Amino acid sequence: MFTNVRANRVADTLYINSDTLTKGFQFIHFCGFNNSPVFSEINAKLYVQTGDTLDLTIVNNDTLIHDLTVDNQLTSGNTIAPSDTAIFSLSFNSEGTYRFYSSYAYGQLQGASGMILVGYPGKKHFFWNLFDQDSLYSKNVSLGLQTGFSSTYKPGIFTINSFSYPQTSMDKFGNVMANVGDSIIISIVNSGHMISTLHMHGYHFKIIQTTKDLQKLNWVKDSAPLVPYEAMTILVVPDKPGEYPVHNHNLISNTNYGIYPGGMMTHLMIDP
Amino acid sequence: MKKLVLSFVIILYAVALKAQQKHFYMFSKMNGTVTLEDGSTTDFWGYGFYVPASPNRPSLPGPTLVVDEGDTVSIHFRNLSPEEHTIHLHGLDVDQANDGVPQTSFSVSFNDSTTYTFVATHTGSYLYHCHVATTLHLAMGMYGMIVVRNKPNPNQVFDSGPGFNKEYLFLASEMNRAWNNNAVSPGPFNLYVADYFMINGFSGSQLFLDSVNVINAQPNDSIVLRLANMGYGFVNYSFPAGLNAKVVMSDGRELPVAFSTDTLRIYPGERYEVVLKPTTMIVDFITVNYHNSINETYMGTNYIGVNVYTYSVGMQENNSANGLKIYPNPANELISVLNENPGTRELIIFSLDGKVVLKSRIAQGNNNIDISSLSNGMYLVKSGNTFSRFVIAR
Repeated sequence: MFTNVRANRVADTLYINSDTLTKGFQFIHFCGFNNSPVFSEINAKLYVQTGDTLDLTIVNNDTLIHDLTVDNQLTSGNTIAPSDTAIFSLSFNSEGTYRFYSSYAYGQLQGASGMILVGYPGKKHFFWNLFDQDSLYSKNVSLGLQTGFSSTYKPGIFTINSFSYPQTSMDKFGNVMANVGDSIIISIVNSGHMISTLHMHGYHFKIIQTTKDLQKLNWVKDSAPLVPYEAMTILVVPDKPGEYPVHNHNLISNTNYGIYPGGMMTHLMIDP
Repeated sequence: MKKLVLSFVIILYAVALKAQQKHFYMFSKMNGTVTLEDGSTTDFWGYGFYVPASPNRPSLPGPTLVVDEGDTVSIHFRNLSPEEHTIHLHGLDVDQANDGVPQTSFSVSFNDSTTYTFVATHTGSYLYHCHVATTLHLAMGMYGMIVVRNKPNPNQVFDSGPGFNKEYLFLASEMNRAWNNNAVSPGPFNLYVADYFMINGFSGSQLFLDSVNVINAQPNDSIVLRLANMGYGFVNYSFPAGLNAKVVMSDGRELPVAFSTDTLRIYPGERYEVVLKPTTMIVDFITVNYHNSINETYMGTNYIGVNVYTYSVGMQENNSANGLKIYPNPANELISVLNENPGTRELIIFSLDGKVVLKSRIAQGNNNIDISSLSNGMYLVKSGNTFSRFVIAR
């Protein structure tokens, strides 16, 4: 299922690429951590085992300086100049989901944020990288006019793994397909700038790891907030078959440029 | 044989106790009108209990559905409005057919009806709302609360959980009044920003006018609050320290570790059970601040009145029963106190921090009292052994 299944000491390479796309008749500037030198708005997902050491090479193909920041691993400041390459050695001793990202404002506002899932062998794994984007912000960032987040931010694009509903149903990493009784691990990061409260229909889930609100560990919920830049791992064990939506309950985000239904919504499709 | 029959009856009774059938008859309509705090009115869409041959006016929020753990619940739903609607049973983990999501089940068109069925497997607080064009329909008011009471002890939050002798439901929600008054073309849904904030459909001073929205208790009472948020932003509850608030449950599930707190943040769609155990007299507010989920900016505040005081023999809290009546409420510059007791008696007005702010003597009949020197807020009034309260809202 994943190209990055690792054991022990492993190596991988990611490329910071950027480009401009047309979405909903708007030009959107994206920046991402990709698995190849070819730009994709879909950020990389890495999967390693507990105890693994990952030697991660980052190639900065963007015209701007970036860094690599990793939850619980690397603080900001590990810079990579345009066209430069850097190698980082990361050790993962705890199971869970961790976000890696460029801490520069233009990196965050344009979506340079991926995820590493550590551990949980033998389970079915899925990934939800949440993102929201304001096209005007995006444009101004690319022009150097917007250097940070402000209260005028009005997102119109809401995605999971860079897909908006109904395209989310075609995403094999995000659209959960499993069976009754499976132990399903869902690795979630909020790469966006607003609080996203995910509501799951049909089932409750257990929060088994988070990088922010540790008080909520082991809570069993059907609605769970992820504050900006939070990473969380949840466990779902479906008790019945069916197709059930999962969506942000800040319902403005269930839209594509204001049109419902859309945005930050995907499904669990559970077979008997 | 007699013993056998008795055993059979006991078993039948036990089964009946464990799992009953509950039926609710509900409708949806898009012609509700609600009076806002400033006296203006606005339109809303909503639900109500269906009564044949009646006007069937919706309420904001919809009526609370109360069932027992283990009940098989049937909601017989009739859509009396021109647009399609559903009832999504938020948090109840119902099967796909009863989930109320048009894309995965079905919606109910004009004058059509359906029945949603589920088994209430877990005690706790839940929500229901329309899942058709949800961003709009929910903002327009199509939501309500569902409470699943613990069984066999309905006065226990959950099995082996804390008991309670008082219960209050507070459903936080919001609206954008321009949307409610122009639902045909409210503009792009992603630009929705709430500008009116409610608890149980009321805002500001309206919250003090109905005893179900004000916590009235005595020291050492055990009070459960069932808190839910149906807005798109989050709400911050601040509890007065003396209430000894403890969070025990969320989203219909017991917390692994209950925790004491003076503040609680509730995000869209979440529910919490909070147990209050005041030990002393408290006259105060629970503050509810509303924030935008996009940039966390503050948007508004509501206050839930808290009156914890000891009743002595013959003492009664009285807003509208015999004895002491105060009107108008909310008041402005003057209150009229109707004293139905013979003779004159002392009347004392307390602020919520317990200070005496005004004393007067009242005779039998109507007594006008100048309160222009007092600032906005809620006040307690004591006369003899009778308590009452009023709000100044200018």
